[in-house]
Amino acid sequence: MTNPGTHTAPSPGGGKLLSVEDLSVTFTRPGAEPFTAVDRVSFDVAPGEVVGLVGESGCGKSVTSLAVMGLLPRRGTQVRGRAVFDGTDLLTLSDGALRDRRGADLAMIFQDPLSSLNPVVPLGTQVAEVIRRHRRTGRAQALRRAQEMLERVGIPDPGRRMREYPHQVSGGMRQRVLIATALACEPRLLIADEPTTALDVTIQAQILALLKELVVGSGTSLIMITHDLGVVAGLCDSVNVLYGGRIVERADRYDLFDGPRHPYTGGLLASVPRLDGGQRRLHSIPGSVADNIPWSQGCAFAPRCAAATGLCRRESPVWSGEAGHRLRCHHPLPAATAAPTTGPKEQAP
Amino acid sequence: MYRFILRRTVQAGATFLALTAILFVWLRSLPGGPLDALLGENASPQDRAKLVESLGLDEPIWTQYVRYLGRFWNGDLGVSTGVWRGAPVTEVLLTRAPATVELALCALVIGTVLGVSVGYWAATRRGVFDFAFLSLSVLGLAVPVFFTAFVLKYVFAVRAGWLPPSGRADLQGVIPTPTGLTLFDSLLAGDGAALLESVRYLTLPTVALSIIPFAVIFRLTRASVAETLQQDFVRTATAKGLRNRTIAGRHVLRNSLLPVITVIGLQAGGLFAGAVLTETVFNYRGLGQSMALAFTTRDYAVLQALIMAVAVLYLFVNIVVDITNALCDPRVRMQ
Repeated sequence: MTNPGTHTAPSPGGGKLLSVEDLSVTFTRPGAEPFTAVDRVSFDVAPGEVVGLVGESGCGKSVTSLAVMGLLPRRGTQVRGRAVFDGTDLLTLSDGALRDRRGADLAMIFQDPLSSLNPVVPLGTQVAEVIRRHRRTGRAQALRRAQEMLERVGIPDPGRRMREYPHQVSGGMRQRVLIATALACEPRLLIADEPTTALDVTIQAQILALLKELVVGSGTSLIMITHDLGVVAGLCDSVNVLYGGRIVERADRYDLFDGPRHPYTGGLLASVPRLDGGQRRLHSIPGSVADNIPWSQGCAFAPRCAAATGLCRRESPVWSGEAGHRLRCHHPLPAATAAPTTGPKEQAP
Repeated sequence: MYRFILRRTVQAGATFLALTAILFVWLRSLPGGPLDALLGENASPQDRAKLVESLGLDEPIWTQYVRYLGRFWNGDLGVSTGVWRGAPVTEVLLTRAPATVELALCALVIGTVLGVSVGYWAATRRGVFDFAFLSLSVLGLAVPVFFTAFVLKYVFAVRAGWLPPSGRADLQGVIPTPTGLTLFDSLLAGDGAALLESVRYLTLPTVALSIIPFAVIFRLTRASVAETLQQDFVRTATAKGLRNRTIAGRHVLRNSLLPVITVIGLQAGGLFAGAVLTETVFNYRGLGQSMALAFTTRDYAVLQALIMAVAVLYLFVNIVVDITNALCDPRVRMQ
C-alpha cells in the first residue's frame, strides 16, 4: 500500500498515535468529472504532538480531517488509503465501532461555532450528551462533569450558561463550549478545523491560548487545520503544507519558517504582514487554485509559480529533501544558510 | 413562558372579537336577509314591520351588535330557523361539534404522524420510495377533497362493502357518552364492539380528510429534514459519536419540526374547510355538514354560531401551536 520512494515521507518520532497513509478522497457526481480533493496524503501524529495542516481554501485540508473522522457523506465520496489510529484502521471500521471512537478517542472542533451548536438545545446538554454516550454515568453526573468542563474552558458562571442556548452567548464563548465538548471525554487526538477563523482577532488569541493550555502538554495530540501561518507559528510542532490535495512540503515549525523550500510555502510566508518593518507591499501569489493543473500532468502549482519550467508542467515532482524537511518540487528555493532557531524571521524572496 | 401564553390568549381574544364584528356585518349584508328566510317572500308588509321591530332590526347596526355580544356573553346564541326550527342554536352546536372535533383530530393526528415519519424517512433515504411519495403527494394536493371522498366511498363502501358508506356510529343508549367523541367514549366504557363500530364509521372520512394534511406535512418535513441534515451541528453531533436515534431525535427532528409545527396550525383551517365537504359526502353529522345545511336553508343564527365555533377551534389550535413552538425553540421565547 505504501510506497515510500514516491509519495510517502518518513515521519520524525518513534511512536505514532495516528498514521495517515496514502489517503485519497474523490468526489463523484453524476454527469461531472470525478474530483480528487485529497491525493495520496500521508502524515503521522505522535502522542502529544501538534501537527499543522496548512493551505488555502480548497487545498483539501478539511476534507483530510473529515475523512479521518469518517464524517464525509457516503454518497458520492470515495475514500482510499489508511488512517491507522492506535493500531486500527479507522477507514475500515464499522459504523458502530467508529461511533464508539468518535467523541471518546478522537474529537473534533469546527470552524463556525454558532452553526456547529444545536440552536434549540441548552449548552449544558450539548456538552453532557457526549459524556453520557461514552462514559457510564447518569444524567446528573454527566451534567456535573459538563459544568466542570465549562469551568475549565474559562466560561464564567458555568452553572447559568449550562441552561442557556447558543444564541445567548458570544462567539468566543460558543467556541469554548465546543472545546469543552470535544475534551469532555479526554480524547487522545483532537482535530481542530480552523477553530479561530470565524472569531474576532482578540478572541482568536484567547482561543489559541486555551487550546495551548488544555491540549499542548496534556498528552493529547492535536491536528491543527488552518490557513493562518501565525497560528502555526504559535502552536505546531510540525507542519504539512497542502496544495491541490497533496502535501508539498513538510518540516518542523522552525525549519519551515526559517527556510521554506517550496515556492508555494515561500509565497505564503511572504504574504503574512510583519511588524518588524522592511516591507512596503504584501506579497501575493498570482492566480488562484482554479489555475491548477492535475498532479498527473505535472506540478499543480506550476501555473502560479515563478520558478516553473517545462519540466514542472510535464512531470509530477516526487519527494526530495532531507529527513526532517521534505518537499515535492523540481526547483526548490535555496536552503537557508545559518538558519536562526528563534522563530519566523527570515523569509523567502 | 406564562407571560407568553397569556399574551397569545389575549391576542386570540382580540382576534375573536374582531371576527364576530366582521361576521355580524357580513351576514347582514348577504342578499335576502333574515326576513325572507323567516317569513318567506310573500309575507305582508305588516308582518315584516312587526318582525323588524321584534328582532330589533330597526335599530342602528352597532346597537344590534352590542346586544348580540351581550347575549353571546350569556350563552344565548339564538334559535334555529332552518332544519332544526325552534331548537336553541347552542343545542345544535353542542350535539354537532364533537363529531367534527373527532374527525378533524383523527385526520390531523394521522396526517401528522404519517407525514412526519414518511417525510423523515424519505429525506434520509431518498431513492425510489422517496420519488413515489413525492409524486403521490402532488396528486393528493391536486385532487379535490370531495372527489377523493366520493372515490373512497364508491370503492370501499359501495363496491367492496367493507365499510359503512355514510353516517356516524350511534352510541346513544349503548354506552354512556359523556364527551360525544365516539372513539373516546368507547375506550372510556371499555366496549370493544362500540370501538370497532366507531372506527368503521370514522375510517373513510378520516382518510379522505387526512390526505391533504399528510401531503403538506410530508413534503415540508422532507424538505426541512434534508436541510437540517446539511447543518453543521448535525456534523458536530456525529463527531461526538452519538447514537443515530439521539442524532435523529434531539438534533435533526427537533430542528426540522419547527416549521412543520407552524404548518400544522395552518392546516387546521383547511381541515375545517375540508370537513364541510367530507362530512357532506359521507353524511357525517358534524359542524361541516350542519353548516352546509344551514347555508341552504339560510339559517343565519346557526350559521353564525357554527362559523364562530370553527373560528374558536382554529384559534385554539394555533395557540397550542404557538406554545409548542415556544417550548421547542428558545429563540421564539426570547422575542
